[in-house]
Amino acid sequence: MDDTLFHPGERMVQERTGERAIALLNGRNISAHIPAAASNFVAQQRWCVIGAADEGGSVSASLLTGEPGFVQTVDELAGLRMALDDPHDHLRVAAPIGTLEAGQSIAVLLIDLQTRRRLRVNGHVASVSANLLDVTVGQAFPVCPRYIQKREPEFDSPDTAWPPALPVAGSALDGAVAKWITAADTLFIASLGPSGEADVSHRGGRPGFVQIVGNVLRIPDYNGNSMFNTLGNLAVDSRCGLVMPNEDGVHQLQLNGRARVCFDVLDEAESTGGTRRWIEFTLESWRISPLNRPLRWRLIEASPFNP
Amino acid sequence: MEPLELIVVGKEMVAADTVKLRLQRVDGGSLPVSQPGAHVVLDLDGRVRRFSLLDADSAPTHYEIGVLRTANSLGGTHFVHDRLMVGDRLSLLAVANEFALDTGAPHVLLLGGGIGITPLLSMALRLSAQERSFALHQVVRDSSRQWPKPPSLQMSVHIGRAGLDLRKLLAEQPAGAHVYVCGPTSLTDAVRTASRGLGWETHRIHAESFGMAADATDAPLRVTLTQSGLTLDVAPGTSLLDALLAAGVWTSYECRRGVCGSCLTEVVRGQPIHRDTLSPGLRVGGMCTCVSWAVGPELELSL
Repeated sequence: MDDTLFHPGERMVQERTGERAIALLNGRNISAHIPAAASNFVAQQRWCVIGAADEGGSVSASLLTGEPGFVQTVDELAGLRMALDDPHDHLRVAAPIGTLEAGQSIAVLLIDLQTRRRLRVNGHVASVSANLLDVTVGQAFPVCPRYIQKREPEFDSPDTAWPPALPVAGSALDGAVAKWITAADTLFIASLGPSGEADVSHRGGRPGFVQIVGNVLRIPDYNGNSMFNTLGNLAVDSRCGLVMPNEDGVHQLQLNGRARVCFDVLDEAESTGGTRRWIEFTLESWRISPLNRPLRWRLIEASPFNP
Repeated sequence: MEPLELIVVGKEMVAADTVKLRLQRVDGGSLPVSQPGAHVVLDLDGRVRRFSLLDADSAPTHYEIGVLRTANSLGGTHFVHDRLMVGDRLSLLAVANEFALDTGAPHVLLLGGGIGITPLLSMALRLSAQERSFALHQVVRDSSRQWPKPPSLQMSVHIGRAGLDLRKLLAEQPAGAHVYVCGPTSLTDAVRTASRGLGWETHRIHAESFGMAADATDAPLRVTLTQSGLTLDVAPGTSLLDALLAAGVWTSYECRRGVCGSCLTEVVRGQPIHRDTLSPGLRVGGMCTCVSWAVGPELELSL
């Protein structure tokens, strides 16, 4: 039986894990438009995550912040419009936002930490200017609340605390960067499908759920919606980009590299929640870059689903 | 998979309010392989419902399912009982298994409450064929509801929960045994509590749910949604999730039977009646709208 919903990489992982039937069932929730009921949700968000590749094929994920309403549905739910609010001129030089071009593939993840709801939108850049990004929706689907740590936005993030810091970059996993990674309870991963179609996806767990082994990040793959969009992408194209928010609400840690999917791993510490799957991400480079506007979140409670 | 067109080739009453359906492909071809514990997802006149397969086969030409007429059901099961006839067609959307049999367990206790016996029958048949150690138990409200014992199997029947000392039954199982329980949430919760109390590790406890299990005592609910400002009146027999979706509320969902936690929604005010298979720790502060109900008349959800 063939289907057009999932590409060969996704199908391979779905079959390997025995979750193909469930994937097909859950795939029925994918639509070519933003669900009408999600319009309000979209307009309430204060941030989103962007995933895309640059000209050289390097895949990056980045946070994009704004006042509620900075993202809107347009074109009768067939498009997303994002205001690029960039008072300090950070976005122009930020990957992947600074290099976006009309026509290229892009993924947008809207995620509300407060109600643990998220909407994934994959599509194409319709147009991009210094202050506006228009995306044509290809696929939109709601994703479940599992592994999202509940947080509330803080409203005392004054612009005066805003350091006009230059990005700091490197390729070693030590010091502050290692500390950042091993303390993280949330990350986002951008990857590409066989036709270069971008995807960006959330991963969450207890602080320390990402382990550093040499120059490799080991990211567990907990039980999910069985569609395996990220793992399916990595099965056909190993390039990917990670982004981790910072407690300070001012910076983000972006990592670029290659990843492979490991099945049936020996998981004596039960770090995979029983799936015995993890992603091994080999770092090529990292950079600490400032957000376009600060956004600080206060942790309310960890997800009860975290293994 | 693409939906497969099935035809009803057999329908018989096997116990009070319980019908057994036999289904095959319209073109007579072979059906997707199933494993013990697997269920089919059927489109019943526009309502998506799941039913456990009574037997597992490597090259099936037929599927058999058991369907109980459930109290307050406005759709699925009444449709099967009152409308669906031999010769009618329906769509098979998927064959899935979220209740797979552990092949390494030294002994297996199979415990079915009411219609929940159905997935355990497929497991018992497989275990019996493999000459593995197992015990099959059914708990029923009264003897008229007892599923007929397959000729090749031993089955202990308990009339009413009072007739079954769960703790004693679990304590009697050989070391390392796994338990598989399917039935009302009160039964699956009781098995979970008792087996954890006896020190069983969680990976030895397997529970399956069938989806919304309405109770005759369920009261209508007035559901207030704090994020979207909507108020919905939901009558028993419609799941809260269906009511939310019908009202255009945006919420995620996957399994629709209280297993995955995708629809877990924060409860702002009200007292949920949990019918999912999630652990008590996961339910704190929330409820699965796909299967659970609430003590009426008011419920407030953060949606």
